[in-house]
Amino acid sequence: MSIDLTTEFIKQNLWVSAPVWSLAAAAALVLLVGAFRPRSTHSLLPALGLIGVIVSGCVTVHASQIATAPLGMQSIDSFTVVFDLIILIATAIGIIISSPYVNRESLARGEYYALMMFSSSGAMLMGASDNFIMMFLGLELLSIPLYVLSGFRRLEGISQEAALKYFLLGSFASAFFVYGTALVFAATGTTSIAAALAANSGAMLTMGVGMVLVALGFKVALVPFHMWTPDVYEGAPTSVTAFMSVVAKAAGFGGLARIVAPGLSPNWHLLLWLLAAGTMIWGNLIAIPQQNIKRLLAYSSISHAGYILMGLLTLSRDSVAGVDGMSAVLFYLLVYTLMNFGAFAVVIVFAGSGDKAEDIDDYRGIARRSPLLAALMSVFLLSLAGIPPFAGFFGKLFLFSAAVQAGYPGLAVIAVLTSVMGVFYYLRVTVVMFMEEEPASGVADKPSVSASPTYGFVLGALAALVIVVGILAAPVLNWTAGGAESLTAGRPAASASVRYCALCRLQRFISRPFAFDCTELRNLRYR
Amino acid sequence: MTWIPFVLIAAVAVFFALYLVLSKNAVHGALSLVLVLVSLAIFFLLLGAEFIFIVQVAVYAGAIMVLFLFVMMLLNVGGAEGPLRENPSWQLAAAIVLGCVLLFEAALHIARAGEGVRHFPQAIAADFGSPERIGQLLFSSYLLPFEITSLVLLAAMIGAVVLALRRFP
Amino acid sequence: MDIYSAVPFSAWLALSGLLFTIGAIGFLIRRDPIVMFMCIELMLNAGNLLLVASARYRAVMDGQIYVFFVMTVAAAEVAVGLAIIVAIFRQRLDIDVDEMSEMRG
Repeated sequence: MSIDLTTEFIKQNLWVSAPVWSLAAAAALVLLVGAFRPRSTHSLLPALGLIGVIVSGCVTVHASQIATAPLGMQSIDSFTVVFDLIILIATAIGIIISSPYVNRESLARGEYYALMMFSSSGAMLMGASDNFIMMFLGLELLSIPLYVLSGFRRLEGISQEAALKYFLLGSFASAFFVYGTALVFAATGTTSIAAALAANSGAMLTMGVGMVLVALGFKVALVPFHMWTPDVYEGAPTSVTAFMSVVAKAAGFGGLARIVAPGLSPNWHLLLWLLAAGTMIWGNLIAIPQQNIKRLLAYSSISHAGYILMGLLTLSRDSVAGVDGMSAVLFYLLVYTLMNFGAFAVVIVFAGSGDKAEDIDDYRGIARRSPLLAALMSVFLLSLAGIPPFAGFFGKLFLFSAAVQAGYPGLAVIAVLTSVMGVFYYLRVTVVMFMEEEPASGVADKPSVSASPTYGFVLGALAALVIVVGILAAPVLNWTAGGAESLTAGRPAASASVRYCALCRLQRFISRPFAFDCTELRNLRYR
Repeated sequence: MTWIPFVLIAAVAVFFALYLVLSKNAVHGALSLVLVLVSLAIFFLLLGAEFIFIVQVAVYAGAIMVLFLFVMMLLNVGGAEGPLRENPSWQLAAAIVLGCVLLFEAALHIARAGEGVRHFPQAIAADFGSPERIGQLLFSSYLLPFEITSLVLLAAMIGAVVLALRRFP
Repeated sequence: MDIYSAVPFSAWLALSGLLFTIGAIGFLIRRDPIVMFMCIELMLNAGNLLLVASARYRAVMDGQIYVFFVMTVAAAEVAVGLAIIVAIFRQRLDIDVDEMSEMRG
């Protein structure tokens, strides 16, 4: 065997991995500038990071048109592109939201942004990997910076606790991933995901895939692997929590999609079903009594993982259901990014310097002092709850209908019921903000909450997007459907035009100004 | 009779693994983990993985475990600590369930050992596991993952430095 | 030494399974973070043993390459993990997980 280091080979490798290395290179640049520039120029760093993210987005789109030859490690198909762009959008929002926060809490350093971007490149790697080795490296590149970031408030015990807890449980999950993939390799003799799952060999493969699912379940915080979530979310710096709740989750689901898409053995469908149902029920149930807003959002993020897993489950069916389900998943990931970042940004603004006011009680009557902020928070919370006309509603609707269509009506019923449960605790915060009186003692000495210009801009933009994506769901869904398509490429498929129609027709039907007509709903034939 | 080396080394590995889990003293635990790693290294050699054997001894048993011991000495931990949690919590319940499942799996494989179909192939390429072959694979099929490890290591290095700084300048 | 004809693949599987189980149980019952971390190392090594054995069993080198990557990543994890533990220890001179009680619920 000779080493084939031809120019063509290296070129292909470079283009296939372009999304990852372009972002990592930007991260290294931010790091270097942060290290060598004087402290006064540190406000340049987030701007530099943002430019890096945008360049990386362009490189991703460009690379997808050049790199065609599959190298067996990583692929840059349309799913990768859509997934990477969602991750990059999340990274950009994360950087913007972080910059005033880290200045306020004096955490501003080049390393902060660099680690965030490294973590995102790991997330992109997970969603693009065709090989278990690659996915393992992506998982670690995602996780290791997150361990550090959650302990970034190094002088506060609660942040360090979060880092340690996340690190120990994350590494424990990684060990499961390694052993699971080792079992898969023992059973099949390959580390390629598609080849390994295509092999039809019994118990050892099943066991191995199970352990891999457990490891990824840890990352996306599925019940019963969610124990770390509330503590880590509460202890980590709020901007890191927001980033983690979106990017780590998306990465885990990207990895899961790559494993479920080649066709998982039916043994696992029931397990995934149970995981999704348990996550939706338990996440929503435990969120209700929470008193701390970050813990509330932590449990809410657990329940959202359940909804997304439900969409992912449709990949196990035929390719039509799979495309609908997966495009709904990608759509939901995008919408979830917008609304969750929005909610956490409001939490950052309300908490004030030193992150003091993070209990729901602190939100009492806050609408009097800052009606606009309270209104924005309500938009994000109502969208998370899935109330029309916000984007969260359409995201949930697409997921539910995809589940019904793929033959999981029971799961869809559970999802609807638990969303109703979710409405309760999201609305509670809104009610506390608008209906209740502020505690009399505190009014005098409390300064009025005002958002910095950055937050004003970000919050306004995010709220606008949550509404716009809701109204214009059809084109966005078309875009995500294009990504979903490549995942199910190998399966028997309906024609593309029909496929695109399925959910878009539903969306057009719904965005007709709320004139619900049950007969039309019943007559709506998907294909 | 060729069972004997396997059984002996396996017994050493399992014994010291148990010692790590059950000993009260963290430093003793670390030293027993070194012995587990060394016995696994011998297995790697028997299984035709020369390169992995060297890395295991030099990096794992050497560098990584020295780092562990160094931190323990630095922090002056490793004194008397109860080996088990006092209060049975969810961890204990999870440990029992998980242990049963995993042990069941191990037992299943032992039970299957008698079938005789699962023997190793005798003939194998002469350079199987040699550094040359590893190098060739790393720079051809596994070029991308190999490059990615540089990112993982860089991120870890930055992270360790940030966490270890006493205060931000 | 003709160890291949005497020791079937299943024996290696069982040994690695046993080591992994010991590591996992150790992680769950111990409360010293450093020991918990060493249990994770034990679990990773059980995975490595299985990978090397099955690479020989399948006569495919990919398993050994995977082990190489696992070791690299383990080194990175150790650096970060020990840095976290050192940072905490400086802060409170006590690294007992059970006594961390700022967060409950």
